[in-house]
Amino acid sequence: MRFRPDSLLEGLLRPFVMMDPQSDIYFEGIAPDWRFGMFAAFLLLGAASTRGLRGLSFAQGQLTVGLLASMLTWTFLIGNGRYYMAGLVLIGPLVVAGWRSLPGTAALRYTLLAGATALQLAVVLSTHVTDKWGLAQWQHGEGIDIQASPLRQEPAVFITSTSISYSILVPKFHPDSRWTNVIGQYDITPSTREYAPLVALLSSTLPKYAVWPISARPGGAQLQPSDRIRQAIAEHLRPLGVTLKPQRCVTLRSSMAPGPPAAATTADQMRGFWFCPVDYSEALRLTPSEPHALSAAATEVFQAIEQRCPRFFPPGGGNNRRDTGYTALRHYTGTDMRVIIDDQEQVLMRHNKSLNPTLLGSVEQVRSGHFTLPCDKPQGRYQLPWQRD
Amino acid sequence: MTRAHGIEWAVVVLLAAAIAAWLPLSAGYFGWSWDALNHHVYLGLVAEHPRWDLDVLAASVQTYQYPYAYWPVYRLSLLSGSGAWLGAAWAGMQGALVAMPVWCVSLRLLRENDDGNGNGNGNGADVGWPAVAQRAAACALAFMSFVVLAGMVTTASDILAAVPLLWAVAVSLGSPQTLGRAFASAALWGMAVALKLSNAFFLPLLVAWWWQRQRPHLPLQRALALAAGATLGFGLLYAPWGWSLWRHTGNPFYPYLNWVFHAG
Repeated sequence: MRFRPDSLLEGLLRPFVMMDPQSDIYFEGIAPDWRFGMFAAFLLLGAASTRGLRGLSFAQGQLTVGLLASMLTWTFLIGNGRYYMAGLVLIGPLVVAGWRSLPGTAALRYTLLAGATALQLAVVLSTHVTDKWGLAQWQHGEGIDIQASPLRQEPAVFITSTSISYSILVPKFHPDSRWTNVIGQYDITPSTREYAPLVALLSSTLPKYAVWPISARPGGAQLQPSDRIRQAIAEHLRPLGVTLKPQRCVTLRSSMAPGPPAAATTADQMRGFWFCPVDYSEALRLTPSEPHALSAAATEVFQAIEQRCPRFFPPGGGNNRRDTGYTALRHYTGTDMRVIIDDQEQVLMRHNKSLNPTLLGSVEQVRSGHFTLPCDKPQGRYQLPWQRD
Repeated sequence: MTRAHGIEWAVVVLLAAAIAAWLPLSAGYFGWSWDALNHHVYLGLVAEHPRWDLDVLAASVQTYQYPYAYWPVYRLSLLSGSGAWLGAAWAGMQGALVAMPVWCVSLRLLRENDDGNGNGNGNGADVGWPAVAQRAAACALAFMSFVVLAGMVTTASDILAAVPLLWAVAVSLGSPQTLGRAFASAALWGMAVALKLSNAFFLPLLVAWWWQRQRPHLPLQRALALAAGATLGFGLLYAPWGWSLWRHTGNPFYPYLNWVFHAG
């Protein structure tokens, strides 16, 4: 959804739209690509000349048709550049094939080819950032850097509840340890097929730990989670019958976790993970608890918005979240959208890439259907150059 | 392919490897992405040591992704040393793997003496400097993409999964255009789809390969060769993981196609 075009025209123009130095067209960052546009331009110029499209051989035409049809399929179904990697490579030779259909003297044509290559090189060099996706750096030492600890030597159950599962840690712990990511991208609930295996895992007699990256603001110099963080962890795990033990959490230094560079760490700041001892109780799991239960009004608000704009707010596609300052929040991870009901009973929507939320109206206005929702192009989505303010 | 072609191919592959290797060296480290922290390394571990009986969604929903293309990354993560240099080795290998078929595609796509059916006459006319320059430009342009270059220095399997597809195109452009060649191209296409299901977006390539210049333009035999090749290529590579998913979820493509397999 993130990279799918919002209109037929936007999709059909994708080879040219990719030339735009904007982010979130077909890649999370700014990654303009002029090659598809050049190829189209060369073909058009060739076709307009006396040579027509005879400038292309049968094999070149066959690959052109196959690749462009694949491009349309990719654009309208997903649009993420990582899933069109072969196409992004093959367009290189095709640009030269298209160039060969051009009329003109050899000098003119080779100058054009050199110019096109130099232009694309300049475009890439001006925007390229090595390791655009990197969150952690491997500089020296072990690839997966985590502090030595007896905790890593004995089998145990480790429960993560963050959107990044940090399963990269698994090879560094005892091979019989058991790991689960219960909430984050995907919530394991009684209606999911993973629930029964999770209950079996939690019923294990092994010691159990909740794993959390150490916050930038832990509770004091002891590097223990603050009460607020402990409460947040407890809220996540309570529906599964998992509770935090009163014991101290084990802190392990690791550059796999988010945080300041090693040189910038201070006495009360560390980059690593908390491993907090937890208990599992079958009785507690079976006790009804709805920490994210919504009021009837909030439920109606979400329903009204989902009915009005299922493309960005798919019914059943959102997860209710708790956050400070909000009465209710539903996050639609598949579409990068959030609907927020704030403390002032105002309903807002926000795309991940939008700096500010868009006000939809009061709770009462939305419940009664008296609200406007820009479903065709919410703020934060890519805008064609002539559509921008 | 002449001796000159062989030398040219080797030069292009080495250059591509060097450029890709330079990327982590210039950064001074090898980066772990969100996906690497979340699932890439774990999937590589699972490829070597299945953990169905131990873990439950340890890597969230990505736990169900095809894991075998991540095995090299898992093995890389277990090493100790300079991240920049080990990353350079990884990126260089990926650069070389892409350059190999890309040069072959360029050679076959940009023949000087094309008979109009993708067949050069093999008289060596395509070793002159204009042809070499065109192939050099084609290979350089193939790499001139932010996304392609970014793929070289990450642990994602996008580049590795694209390699069979690039070879499929290289094979399809060869001559003579036999049923065996169509079968081989389709088998490589199927392998690429097994490595990464999103390569199925290139299905129109298969249809394009069905089309031939001489009559009949869309022969049934060629369609059957392509279908058989694609099925066999996909089946061979996907079967172990599909079987594993089938045993544990009742759906070899879980979490997709649940409506077909009534899994969930």
